[in-house]
Amino acid sequence: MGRYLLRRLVLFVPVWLGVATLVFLLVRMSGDPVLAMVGDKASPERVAELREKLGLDRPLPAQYASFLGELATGDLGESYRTQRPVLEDLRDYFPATLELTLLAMLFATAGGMALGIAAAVRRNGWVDSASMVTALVGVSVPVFWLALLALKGLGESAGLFPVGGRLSATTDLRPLTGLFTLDALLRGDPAAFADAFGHLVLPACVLATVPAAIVTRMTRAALIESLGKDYVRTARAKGLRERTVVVRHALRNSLIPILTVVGMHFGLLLGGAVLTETVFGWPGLGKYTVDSVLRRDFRSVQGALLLMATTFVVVNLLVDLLYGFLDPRVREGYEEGR
Amino acid sequence: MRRFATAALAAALALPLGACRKALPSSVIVYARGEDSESLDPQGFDDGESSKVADQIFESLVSFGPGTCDLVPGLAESWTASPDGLSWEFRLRKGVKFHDGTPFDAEAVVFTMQRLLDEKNPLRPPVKVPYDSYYRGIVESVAAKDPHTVLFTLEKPSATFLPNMAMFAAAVVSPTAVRKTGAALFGKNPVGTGPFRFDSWSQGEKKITLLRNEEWWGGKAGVERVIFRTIPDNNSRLTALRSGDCNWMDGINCEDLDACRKDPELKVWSATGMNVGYLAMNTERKPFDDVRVRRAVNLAVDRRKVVEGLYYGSARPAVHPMPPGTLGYDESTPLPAPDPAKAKALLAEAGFPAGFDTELYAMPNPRPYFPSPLKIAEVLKADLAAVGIRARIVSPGDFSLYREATSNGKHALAMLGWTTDNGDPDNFLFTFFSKESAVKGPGALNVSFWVDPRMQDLLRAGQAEMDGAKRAALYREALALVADQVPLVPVAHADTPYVSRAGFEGFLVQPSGDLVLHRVKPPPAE
Repeated sequence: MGRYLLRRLVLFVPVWLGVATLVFLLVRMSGDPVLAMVGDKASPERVAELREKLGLDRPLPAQYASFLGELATGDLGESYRTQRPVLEDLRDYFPATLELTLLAMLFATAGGMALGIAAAVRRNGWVDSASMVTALVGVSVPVFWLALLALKGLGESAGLFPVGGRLSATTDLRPLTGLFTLDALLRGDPAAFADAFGHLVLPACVLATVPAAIVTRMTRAALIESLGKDYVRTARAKGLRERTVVVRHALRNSLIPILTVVGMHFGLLLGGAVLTETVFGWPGLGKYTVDSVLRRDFRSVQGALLLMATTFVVVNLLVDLLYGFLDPRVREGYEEGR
Repeated sequence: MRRFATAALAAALALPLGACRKALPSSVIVYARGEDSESLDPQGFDDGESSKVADQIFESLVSFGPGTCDLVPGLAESWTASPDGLSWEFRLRKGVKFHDGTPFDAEAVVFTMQRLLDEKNPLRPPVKVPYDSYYRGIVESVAAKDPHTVLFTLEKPSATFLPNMAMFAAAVVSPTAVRKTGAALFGKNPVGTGPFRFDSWSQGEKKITLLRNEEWWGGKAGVERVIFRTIPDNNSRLTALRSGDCNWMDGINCEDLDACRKDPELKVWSATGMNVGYLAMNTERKPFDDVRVRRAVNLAVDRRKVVEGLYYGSARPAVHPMPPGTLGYDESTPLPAPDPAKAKALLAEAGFPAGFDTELYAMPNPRPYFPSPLKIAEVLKADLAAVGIRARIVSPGDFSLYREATSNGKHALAMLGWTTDNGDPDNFLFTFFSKESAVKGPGALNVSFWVDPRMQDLLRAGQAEMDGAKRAALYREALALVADQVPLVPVAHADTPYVSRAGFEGFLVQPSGDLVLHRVKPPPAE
C-alpha cells in the first residue's frame, strides 16, 4: 500500500511538469498581456517598460527557465489585476469553491444514490420512470437558467434564501480556513453559520443537478446488474431481508462505478463552476480564472490552472485509494503490482 | 436513529430560512456592482470600480460643483494664478485631518504630487500610474510655501491644469500611511481625508466596508456605513436588490429599467454621462479618405432611432463629439437629420454609384456609451445598407483585442467612445483629433487617424488659452471643422442609471462619473 502510494506520487511529478509546461505555452500564445494590463491611457514607453519588468521581452526558453525556478520555490508571482500575490488570491477563492463543491457533491451523491436505488429496486415501475425523467432533466437543463430560476423563485419571490455572495453584507466573519460554515462554527458564531449555510444551499443545489443525474443513472445501472448476480440469489435464498440484500450485498458491490463518477465530478467541480459562480455572485476559482484569462493576467491564469490540475490529480488518487478500501481485490493488486 | 437523522437534516436546512433573512439597517448603503475594485490608491488605478470606492475616501484640492463640471474649492480653499499662468498658489483648508490622524498640510500635497511626477519615487504605486501623463509635462515642480500654502510651477501655461487637479488621480493621500504600509500595500489600506474612512476589504468575499468619518470638514455623511459588494451577473444583482440583500446597484440591463421605474419599492437614478459613443471612419483607408464618402455615412446614420430603440430612454443623440455642458459646446448646431437620398448622391459623386463593401468593427462587451454594442452595430449596418454601403460586422474576442485592432488601424469603420476624466473639452477633442493620439499602437485614440493642421493649431491654442470665452470660441471652431470634415459620426451620449430601494434621497453622480454618497439621506427607520 505504502509503495503504491509512493509510486503514484512519483508519477505525479511528470504529469504536473507537463501541465505546467502546457499552461506556460498556452498563456503565452493567447496574445499580449501588457496591453490588457495598462489600459487605454498608457504611452508606448510604459508598455515597453512593463514588458521588460515582466520579463516578456526575453526569449521563451529563458522565460520558461525562470518560470520553473519560481515554481520550485513556490512563488506564483503577483496578479496584475488584483495587485497581490497569486497565492493569496488562490487562498481566498479556492476554499469558496471547495466549500461549494463539498456540499454540492454531498447533495448529488445522497440524492442521486437514493433515486438510483429506488429506481433499480422498483425497476420499470413509476418510481423508476419518474427518477429517470428527473435525471434526464437534470443533465439537460442549462445551469445558468436553473440558477436564475432558483434565485428568482426561492430567493426573491419566496424570500427563503439570501441572494448573492457567501455572506450577507452586514455579516462580518474573520476567516480561518476559508470554509465559512466551518469558520463560523470554529468561532462559535451560530448566526454567521446560518448565514453562510443559507448562502450555500441554492448554488450547491444547482451545482448538484448534473452530477446527481449522472449518479442516479450510474447507481441504477450498477445495482440492476448486481441484483442479477448469483450471490444475490443465494442471499435471498438464505432468507435475508430484502433491504439487507440490496444494501449490504448488491449495493456494496456496485459502489466502484458510482465512486468513479463521483470522484470525476468532484475533481471537475473543484476547478470552479463559472456559470453558477457568476449567477450567484460566488467568489470562487472558476470566475477568478475566467476573469484572469479575459484580462490576460497570465500569472493568475498559470497559478489557477496549476491548482486545478493538482486538485484533479489528488482527487483521482484518493478515489483510487478508496477503491482498495471498498474492494479487497484491488488492495491485493496494489501489493502484486509493485 | 434514522428518524433522528432525518430530523437533523430538516433542521439544518430550515435553520438558514429563519435566520438569514434579516433586513438591512437603513443607515447602511449596501452597494452591489459587477466587479471588485483593483486598488484604492488614487494614483494607482484607472478602473471605474476602484474610483467608485476611492471617491468616498479621498479628496482633491479642487472639486467639481454638485452636478456640474464647474471647478470649486475642495481641499484647497482658494487659488490664484500668476498673470503668465506659470505659477499657481493653492491655499489649503485648515484643521483637516487624514483618517489616521495625520494633519492635512502642504507636505501631504507635495508628497502626493511627487508620486505622480517623479518616476524614480520609491513610494510611487508599483504596478501602474495611469494618469501621470496628465501632470508630467505640465507641472514642473511643487513646493510647500508654508504649512498651508502650496506653490505649483508649470512648464507652460495650461488650461487643463486646474481640471486635472480635480481628478481622482490628484487626490491627496496620507504620507504617514503610505510610508507605513509601503506603496504596494497602500492600495489595499487607503487613508484619505474624505467623508468616509476605509474599514476593511475582504478580498475573498469581494466586499469593501467604509465607515462614516465623524470629523469630516464638510459635515457628517447621511449614512453610517457603506458596503460595496460584488455580484457579477446583472440579473442576479437586480434580484438581490429586489429581495433586499442589497439596497443599491449599478450596471442594470437597459431593458429592465422600465420595470424598475414602475416598481414602487425601487427608485431609479439617472446620471447625465459626460461621454460620447461614436462611429469612426479610418481616413487612411479608401474610400474613407474621401470626405464625400464620410459625409454620406454621416447622412445615412439615424442617431435618434439608435437612441430610442436601444438605450431605453437613458441617452441623448449626439450632435458633437463631446456632450452638452462642456465648454465650447455649440448649442446652435441642429442634430443632423438622416438623408439617404443625399447620401447616395454623394456616394455616386465620389465614384460609388453602386455603393461598396466594407467592415464595421464593434466591441464585444458593453461600454458606458454603448450598452449593447452589437445590437447598435446591427442598426448602423442597416442604415448604411440603405444607402448602398454594405458593412460586415467584425467583433474580436474581448475588449483588449478590440483595442489592439482599432489602435493599429485594422478597421475601416469602428465603434468607440470616451468618458471624460475631467469634463474639459480638451479631454475629448485632443483625444479624438490630435496628431499625438493618431500614432498607431497602444494608446492610439484618434482611430479616424484624421490629422488636420488647422485642428492641431486649434487644439494647441485651446490648451494654452486661459481666458474662458476665447477658449470656448476656439473649441467652437474645432467642432465646426469636425462637422465639415466628418472624421467620425457622434452617435449618443449615454446616461448612467443607478437603482436603489425606495426611500433614499440625495444621491448624486457627478458628470465626471464620481459617486457622491455622503449626501445620501436614508429612509426614516421603521
